[in-house]
Amino acid sequence: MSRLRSKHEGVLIFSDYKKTSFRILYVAVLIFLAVAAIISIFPPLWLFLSSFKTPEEILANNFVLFPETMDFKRISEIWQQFQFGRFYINSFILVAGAIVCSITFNGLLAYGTAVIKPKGWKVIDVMVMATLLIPAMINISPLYMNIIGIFNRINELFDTNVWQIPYFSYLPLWLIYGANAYYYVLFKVYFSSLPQPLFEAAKIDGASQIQMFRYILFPLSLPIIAVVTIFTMNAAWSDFLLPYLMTRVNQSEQPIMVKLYNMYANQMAQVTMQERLMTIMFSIVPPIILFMLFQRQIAQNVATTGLKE
Amino acid sequence: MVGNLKRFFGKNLGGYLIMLPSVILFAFFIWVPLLKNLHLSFFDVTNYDTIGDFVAFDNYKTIFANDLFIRSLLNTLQYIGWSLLIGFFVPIFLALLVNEAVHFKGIFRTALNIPNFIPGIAATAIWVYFFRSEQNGVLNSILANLGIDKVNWLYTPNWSAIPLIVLTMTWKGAGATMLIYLAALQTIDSTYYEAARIEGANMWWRLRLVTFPTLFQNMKTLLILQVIAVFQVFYEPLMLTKQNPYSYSLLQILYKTAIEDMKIDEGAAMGVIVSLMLFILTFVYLRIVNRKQKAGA
Repeated sequence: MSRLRSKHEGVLIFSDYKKTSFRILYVAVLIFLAVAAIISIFPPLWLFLSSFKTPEEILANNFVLFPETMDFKRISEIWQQFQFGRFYINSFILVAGAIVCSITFNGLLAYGTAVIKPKGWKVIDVMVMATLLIPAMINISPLYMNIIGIFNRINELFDTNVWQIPYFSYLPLWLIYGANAYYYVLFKVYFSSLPQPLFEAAKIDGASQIQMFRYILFPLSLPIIAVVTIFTMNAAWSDFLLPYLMTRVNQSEQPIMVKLYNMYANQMAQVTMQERLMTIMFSIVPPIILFMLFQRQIAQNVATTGLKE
Repeated sequence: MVGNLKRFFGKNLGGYLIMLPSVILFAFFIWVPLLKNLHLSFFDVTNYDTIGDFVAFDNYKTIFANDLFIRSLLNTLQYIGWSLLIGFFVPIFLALLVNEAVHFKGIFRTALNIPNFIPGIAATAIWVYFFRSEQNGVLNSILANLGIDKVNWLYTPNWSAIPLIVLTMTWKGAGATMLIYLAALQTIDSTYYEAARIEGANMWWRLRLVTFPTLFQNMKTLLILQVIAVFQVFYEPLMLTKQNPYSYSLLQILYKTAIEDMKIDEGAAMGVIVSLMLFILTFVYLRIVNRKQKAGA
């Protein structure tokens, strides 16, 4: 409690805590927060521990958090049996391409509207911002129709079958991350906060717009690029509807989320409870590790832009 | 004239070229499909390759005669209501508490934020086990340890599962929203509180006069964002309550119609209705908020 004596900020400060009633209130606050924290962590913790349980343990009528034995061999057995390695690789390929597109295209667009500002940039800005309103799924079937249309056209023109080209169907899955109003806003807010005379000076020195991007904007933008990368990783890893549609032809290219979704959508699938739990666990481990590594950057970014994913 | 054009492009061409690839992507992935939805909704379309005859408003008549679609529209109002009641205040409350904590502050902030990084489908898959109606469901087995009878969580008669679904969404999203409020709270200069204290303001008055006015700007934005987010409810009811009409969501019926049943035309009509609702809602909300701001100034 000694730390309360040096509390100078917030609604209640050290002088308030001289009163017993406020000290009791403070303890109540801590207890409440501890309960909230436990509620936040409990479901993934349960998942982790339960994926080691035997079928009898999982189906027990009384609640026991810890499994009787932690058989780590089961992890590698199930991993190999379901060839999760392949789905992980698919997800990583999806994520990598999504990051490249999301940084390049949203970044360039924001460079246009926040720094270069050619005539009419406001129209584009408003049209992009309006897309924040529209849930992506509303457009899914016309979008899918257009993609199929273009694929068929390419097949005719080049006399090939693009569905047989490895990961060709990932092209739209990557490129769609280049049209994300949310990442665009993150870049735009950041670029607008940079000192504009910097760009004026470069212009006077005769730098082209591409040079300005390459030598001034890009090096200064590494923090926001990191943030957009983290958010894109998380979003692309969790994405499933368009990946689900695009990998219906070639199921060996399914990312792990599509695999998980199929397991639940298809009740006929012969999978044990333990295998299901392990699948969920495999699908949440990478994003949680990502969060643990970068939580400071994530919190800071929310603080500066007032937006979350 | 030609000189003017030359000057115009000389000044702007570079900018346009830099923005062009991104604009093409926005057009291909969002703007064109949005317009194509409108187009398809007036035609007979049942496969991905061809567009059939013009049918005027038939698709709209069909979907408004569809009980499940009407049910989903009404359910959406319930989702909005519950998510404002539960989801809107929880992050504000958590931010106020975390901001006051001196002990374990970092641990609380991290723990509350973890659910946000669990992919939605995986999170919902976990909740499926928690809400199982059998005795061995996680919540029911915890109740059994406490000597309480099992509860049929998601299928109680006369009571929809919407509040529970909103609870799972709040579980996932509250931590991230809390960070936004927390950031706003940390911008408050402690001299304001100092001044309030000197004037003899107790805890409640300090909250009312200093804390809430600061949060108000964020609350206005996050309120509309939350309502928009509720329109996106999809895999939560899909996985938790499946075909149960009392928690069917708009995107769920859209998915069923356009993708599972391949009634692309009717799905397009639903998409147009939902887009219209979102545009009108946002427009009206912004008008109200802005008018209040002007009146206040």
